[in-house]
Amino acid sequence: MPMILLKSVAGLFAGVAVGALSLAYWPQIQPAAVAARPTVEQPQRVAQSAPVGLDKAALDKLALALRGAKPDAAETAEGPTRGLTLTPTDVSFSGPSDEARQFRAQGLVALAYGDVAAARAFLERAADAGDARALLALGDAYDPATLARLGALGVKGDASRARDYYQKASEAGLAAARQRLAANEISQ
Amino acid sequence: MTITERRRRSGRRIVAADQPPIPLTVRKAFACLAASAAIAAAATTASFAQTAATGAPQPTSGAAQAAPAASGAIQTPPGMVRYPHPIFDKGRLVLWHGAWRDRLKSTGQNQSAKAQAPSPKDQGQSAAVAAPAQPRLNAFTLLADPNDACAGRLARDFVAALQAGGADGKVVAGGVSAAALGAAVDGDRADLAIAPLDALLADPQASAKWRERAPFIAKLSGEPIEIIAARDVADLRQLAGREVGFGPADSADATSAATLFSAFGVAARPAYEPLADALNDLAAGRLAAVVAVDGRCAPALAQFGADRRFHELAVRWAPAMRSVYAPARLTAKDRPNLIDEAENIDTVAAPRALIALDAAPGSPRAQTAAALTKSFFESFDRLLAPDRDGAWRNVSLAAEAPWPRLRAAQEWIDAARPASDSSLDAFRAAARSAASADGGPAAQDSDRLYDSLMQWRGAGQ
Repeated sequence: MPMILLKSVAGLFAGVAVGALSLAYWPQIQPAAVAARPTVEQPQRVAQSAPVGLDKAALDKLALALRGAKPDAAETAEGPTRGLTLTPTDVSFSGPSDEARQFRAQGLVALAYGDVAAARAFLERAADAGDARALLALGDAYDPATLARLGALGVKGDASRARDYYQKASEAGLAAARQRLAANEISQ
Repeated sequence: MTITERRRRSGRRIVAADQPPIPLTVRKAFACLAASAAIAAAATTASFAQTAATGAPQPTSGAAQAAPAASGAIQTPPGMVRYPHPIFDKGRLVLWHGAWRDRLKSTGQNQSAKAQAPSPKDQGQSAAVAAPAQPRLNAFTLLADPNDACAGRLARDFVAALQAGGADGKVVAGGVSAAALGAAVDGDRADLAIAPLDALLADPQASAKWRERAPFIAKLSGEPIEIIAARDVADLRQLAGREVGFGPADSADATSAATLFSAFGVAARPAYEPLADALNDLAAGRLAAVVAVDGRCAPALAQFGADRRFHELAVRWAPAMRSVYAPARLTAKDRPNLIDEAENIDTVAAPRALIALDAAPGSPRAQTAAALTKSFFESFDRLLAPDRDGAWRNVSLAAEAPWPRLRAAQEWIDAARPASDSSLDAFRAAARSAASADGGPAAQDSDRLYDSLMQWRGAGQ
């Protein structure tokens, strides 16, 4: 009788161990919950009341930040979803110099990270808003010599465009731009 | 659901006979038992096996080795090798890597593949089963959204460039939303994909583990998001509660549009249909607006709006978008029917990324992806030829993204970059410092970054 009891207890322990191991291994059998979501194979016109499949927390944070871009106007008249003003007039900046400098900062970060295409896009916005330093940075973002030293891979420089931006920066009074042009750094 | 149905839905090739349906709980229990037994078996044996063909040590799954013993005799089908992730159906290991591809027929490599695949007799002598013998460049598939003409063009360019280097790839059409890519990863449907990065980043199911299985190789050029509406709609918020064409379901356009509208907190009602149909509905007043990403490849959009009843809506930039989007600008030159002369429409560009599917670190697929990556990077200049899509000229291979990068890609980039110097390191450190601050780079960072850039450039003069 005790032997039978002992065997039963041993069997119970074995079962628990197998179950624990199964739980530990189960995620590899069902590796991604994403796969369980249905895929619509045929294009069809379906109206839904709200977007699906998005990280609400992340998007809420982004939306909050977006609304926070104009805190003075956001909560006054039209409720919590306002703050995005999309007419051409309103996309101009309430504080042009700060906005331009922010674009320049983002462009320079992108340039340092090797994302040359994004850097050019940010710096062009800054230059359009009247930031002369962005013009010089734009020249660098197109300068083949700068890109080579930066280790930018893939995207190519454009010596002609770089020279144009250096020229504009020089006309805006930046001595460094004149030095770039005088040094004839850009290969013809 | 029968196995045949599941095969059709999941895209997996399941090598097993149809059996009567068994409740899911029972199947899970079988799978648990088999996996547990496999773990126990693996614990008592060495977990690494030497591959016969390459001689390189390959991690092997204990479950994959021991499951046959636990669930009955399973033999490797000819021309196939074991899938590195064990898949069970009714307690039986059923998925075999390579079964679905049909690539061997076209490349005439049946014989070599059969020679590489272990015979049942060999399996009886050793539990160690070879992983894919060698990362083969001569057979790969690239997944692209069939509704995204520009992505299709990029995909064809990519395949052509690698073909010039000796590879034999093909483009396969399929959804590229996060859900569709998840199915592609688990269903072994393709090696690579061109996918919208913004939608991947916004997907709640994209866990860290899943991201590791779908690392990006390179961030591709961003494409402007265009929102076309009647001229009496001047503001994105006016679209709240109204029906807006988002593009076909599971398309890159639809996922990018949903991400952007959600980010702005505008709850429009998406209508999922192709761009040409959506524009017709917009013209007929059945839609309030239409969203188009990468509209430069859409002839329907180029011809739309000749009656001047419609225009492009601006998308205001906000610093919070910096980690995903980049600023973009549309002019009358881009859309003469929708943008007035001398008018600039500011919007944002949604990035695409080249993704390696099911290429977790250390996996056999990661080795294949590494070989493809090396070929892609080394043949990149072919993509800059005049007959290739102009978007390749805006691709920075070293560009970073808030998504894991394939290790081999990062190693190639690190090796290709010139030796850094202290002034460049200082510039990059300043950038890292500014980017890591709450809210990202701010106006007050601009002068410090500029000074750092000047010091670096000055040091090189």
